[in-house]
Amino acid sequence: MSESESILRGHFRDLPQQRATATLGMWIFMATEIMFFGGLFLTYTVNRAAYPGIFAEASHHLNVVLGTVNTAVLICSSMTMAMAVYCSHKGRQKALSIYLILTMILGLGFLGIKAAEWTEHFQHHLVPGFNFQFSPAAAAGPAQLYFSLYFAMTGMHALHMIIGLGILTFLLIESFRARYTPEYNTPVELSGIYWHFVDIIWIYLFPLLYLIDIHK
Amino acid sequence: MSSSAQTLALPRKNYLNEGYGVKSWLLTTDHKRIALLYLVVVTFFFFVGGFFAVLIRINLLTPAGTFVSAETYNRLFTMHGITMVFFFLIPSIPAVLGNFLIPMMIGARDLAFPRLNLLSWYIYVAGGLFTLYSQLAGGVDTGWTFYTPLSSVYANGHVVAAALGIFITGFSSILTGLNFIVTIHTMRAPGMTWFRLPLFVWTHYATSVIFILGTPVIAIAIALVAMERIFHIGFFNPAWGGDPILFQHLFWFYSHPAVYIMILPAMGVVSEIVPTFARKRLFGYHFVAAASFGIAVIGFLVWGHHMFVSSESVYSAMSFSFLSYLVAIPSAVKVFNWMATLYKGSVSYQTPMLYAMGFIGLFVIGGLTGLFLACLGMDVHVHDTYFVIAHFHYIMVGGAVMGYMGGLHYWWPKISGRLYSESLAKFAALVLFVGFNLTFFPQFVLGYMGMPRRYHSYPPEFQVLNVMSTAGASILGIGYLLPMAYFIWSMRYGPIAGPNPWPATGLEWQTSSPPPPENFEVTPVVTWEPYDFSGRPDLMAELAAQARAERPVSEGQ
Amino acid sequence: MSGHNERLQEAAEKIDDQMAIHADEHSPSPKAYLAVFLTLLCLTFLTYEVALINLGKWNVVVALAIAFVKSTLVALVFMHVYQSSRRTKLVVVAGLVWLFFLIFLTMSDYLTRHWLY
Repeated sequence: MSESESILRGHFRDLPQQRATATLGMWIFMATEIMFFGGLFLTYTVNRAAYPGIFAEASHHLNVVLGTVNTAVLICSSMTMAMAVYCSHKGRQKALSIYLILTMILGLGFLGIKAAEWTEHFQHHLVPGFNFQFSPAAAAGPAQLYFSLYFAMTGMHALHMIIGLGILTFLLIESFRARYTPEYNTPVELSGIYWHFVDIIWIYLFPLLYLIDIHK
Repeated sequence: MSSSAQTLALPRKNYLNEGYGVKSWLLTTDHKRIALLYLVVVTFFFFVGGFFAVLIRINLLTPAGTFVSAETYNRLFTMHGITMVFFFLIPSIPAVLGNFLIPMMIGARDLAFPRLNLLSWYIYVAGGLFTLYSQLAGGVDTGWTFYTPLSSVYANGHVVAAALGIFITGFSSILTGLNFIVTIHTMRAPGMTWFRLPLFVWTHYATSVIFILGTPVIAIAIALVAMERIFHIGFFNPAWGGDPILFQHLFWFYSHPAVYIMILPAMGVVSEIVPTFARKRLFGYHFVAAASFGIAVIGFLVWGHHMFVSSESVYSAMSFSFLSYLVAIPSAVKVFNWMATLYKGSVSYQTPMLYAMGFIGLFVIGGLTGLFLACLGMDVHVHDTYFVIAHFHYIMVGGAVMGYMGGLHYWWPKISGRLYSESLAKFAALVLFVGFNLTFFPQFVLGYMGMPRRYHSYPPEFQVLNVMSTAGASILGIGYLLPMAYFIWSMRYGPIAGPNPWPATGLEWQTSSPPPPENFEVTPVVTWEPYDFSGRPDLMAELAAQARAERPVSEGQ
Repeated sequence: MSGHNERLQEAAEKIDDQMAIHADEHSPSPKAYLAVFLTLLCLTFLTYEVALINLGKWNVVVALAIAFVKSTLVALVFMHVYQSSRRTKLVVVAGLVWLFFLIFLTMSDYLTRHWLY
C-alpha cells in the first residue's frame, strides 16, 4: 500500500519497528523530563524543609481559587487529549480535530489564568529581581526563595505548555489533511503522552505551591 | 580475504564517496558521516583544552608562577576543565566511535533517529561556540565546577555565557543517549539477542542511561546559577537564606556519573580490543556486561564523596563513602576479566593492544587512588590537592583518552579503509605512555605532600616535581600530535586495509572498509556468540596466513 | 542450550512489542476515560478540602499522596502505561526511582547534619 510506503522511513524494517522505536523514544524523553523537573522539586524540598513557616506565609499570597480552577482546566484538557488520541485510533477525523481544538482552548485558558496571576504578583512586588518587597523584612530572603521557585517552576511548566500548544497546532493542521488513520496515529499518541506528562507536573505543583498551611 | 595488500582495493561505493560537497556532509543523516563530523570538532576542542593545559604547566615551572597573573591562571584551569570535560571527554567515544559503530555492531542500517543524530551534532557545535565565545571574551575563573556563591554572585567572568554553552551542549548528550538506547532496543538484526551483543554496545547502553538520567539535573543546576546571576535571587547565596551546598548536590549528582560516562565507553573499547589481540573470547562476558550496569547504577549513588569537606553531614558522608567503595567492585570485575582473557591467549602487541594494556594498568592506578579518596579520613588530608588531580587524570587521560586513542587506531581501518604506519603508531603510543606517567605521577607525590590545586604559585620545595610534570606534558603533547599526523597521512597514502585486517569477530568487520552507506549489502542474521574465534575458521585461517608471512597485516607494503 | 534461551528471549520481546502495538485495540474506552476524569476532579476537590483541615505535618503527606494517586491514574489510563510493554513500564519506573535517589540522598544530608552538632 503506497500509504504505508510513504510512512515507513528508510532505515526501518517495517511499521511495527518504526512505531516501537518512536514510542520508546518518547518515553525515554519523559524520563529526562522527570529528572529535569526533579532538580527543581529537589530545590523546593530543601528550601521548604529549611523555612516551613516563611514558605507557608509567602504561599498565602497566591490565589488558591485560581490555582484550583487551573488544575481543573488542565485535567479537562487531559480528558480531551485522551479522547483526541482515541479518535485518531478509530479514524474519526472530525472528532479528532474537534478534541484537539478543545485541548488547545483549555491549554490557552490555563496560560491565560497563569498570566493573570503573574500580572497580579508583579503588581504586588512579588517577582524576585523586579523590585521585590515582602514584609516582614526579616523573612524577605526566604520569601524571595519561595517566589523564585514559584516562578521558576510554574514558568518552566508554562514553557512546556507553550511547546505543547505548538505541537497541538501541528497535529491540528495535519488532522485537517486526514493524515492520522488507524494505521498511522503515532504522532497523536506520543503528543498525548507529552501533554499528560505536563498535566502530571502541575498535579504536583498545585499542592506544593498553593496549599501550604492554608488552614491557617 | 587475503592479507596481501596488492589484491585489495577500496570498495567502489562507500559512505565517504557517496556524494561530495559541503551540503552532503552538513545535511547528512548517515551515522558514519555524523561520527566524522563529531571527530573533527572533538579533536578541535581537545587541542583547545590542551592549549590551556600547556599554559598551566608553563606557569607551574616556577614557584612564583608569574608566567600569567593569578586571575588569568584561574581562568586557564577553569577553561581547561570545561573544555576537556564537556567538549572532549564526554562526547569523544560515544559521539565518534559509538555513532559510527553501534548500528554496524547490531546489524542495523542506521541509528533509530538519524535526524536527531545530526541535530545533536549541531547542538554540540552551538554549545561549543557559545563556550568558546565566553573563553575568548575573557573567560571564567570559577573552576569547571562553578561552585556557588563565587559563580552565582561574586565572579566577574562570563559565567552566564559559559553556563549557557554547557546547558545547550547537554541536550546534545541527551539526544545521543536517547538515540543509543532506542537503537539498541529496537534496531538489532535478527538473531542479535542481548547476550550476543559486543560489550562495546553494552557499555554504551549503560553510558546512555547516565546521559538520560543525569544530564537534566546539571542543566537545572546551571540554569539556577544563571538565574541567580541575572535576577539576583538567592538559591545558593547564604545572605538570602540560600545554601551553596545545594548547588554542589545538584552539580555532582550529574558530574559524578559523568565520569562514568567518560570511562564506560573506553572500557567498551578495551573489551573489543583485548579479545581480538589475544585471539580468545572475552572471559566472563555476562559479568562484564552486568558490571557495566553496576557501574552506571551505583555511580549515581556516590556523588557526596566530592563534598566530604563541604560541611556535608558526617552520616551522609559515611554512606557516600561506603557506596564509593562499592562502585569499585564492578570496575575491578572488568579488570580481572580482561586479565583472564589474556591468560593463555595468543597475544600480539599491535598499537590498539598497546593502548588497551596501557588503559588497564593506568586505570588500575587511577581507580585504586580513587579508593584512597573515598576514605573519609584520607580525603580530608588530600582533598583539593594535586593528589585528586593526579587521580582523575590517571582515569581520564590514562584511561579514557587511551581508550579513545586505542579505539581510533583499532577502527581506523574500518573508518578510512586505510592502515596507518604501525611502527610510527607504536612509537607514538610509547611516547604517550612515558609522557603521561612523567606528567601525572609526580602529582600524586605533590598532592600527598600538600600542594593545593588551583593555585598559580606554590612553595619552592615543590618545584622539582612540578618541572618533571611539565617536562612530561611536553612529551605527552608529542604523543598526541603524532597520531594526528599519521592518520591524516594514511587517508591518502596508507595501505588499503580490506574488510577485516586484524582480523576480528564482530559484525562491523563483515562489511567492507569503508562501509557502504547502508552498512550491509544484506541484513545479517546472527547465529554466533560474540568473540567466538574458535567458531570462525575463516579468521583462524587469516591469522595463520599472517603468521606464515611473518609480518602482522598492519605493516602493509 | 544458550541458542534455545536466545530464541525464547527474542520471541518474548517480539510478543511484548506486538502487544504494545496492538494495545490500541485494547486501549481504554471513552467510558474509562470519563471515569478517570471525574475521579481526578473529585480528588482535586478533595485535595483542596483536606488542605483546609489542620493536620500539622501530615498535610503535606496527604496532599502528596492524593497527587500520587492522581498522577498514577493519568499515567496508567490516559498515557496507556497499563497496556504498554514491559519496557515502557521499566522506563517509567526507572525515572521515578532516579528521582527518588536524587531527593532522598540529598535530603539525607540535610536531615542528618544536626545529629552530630
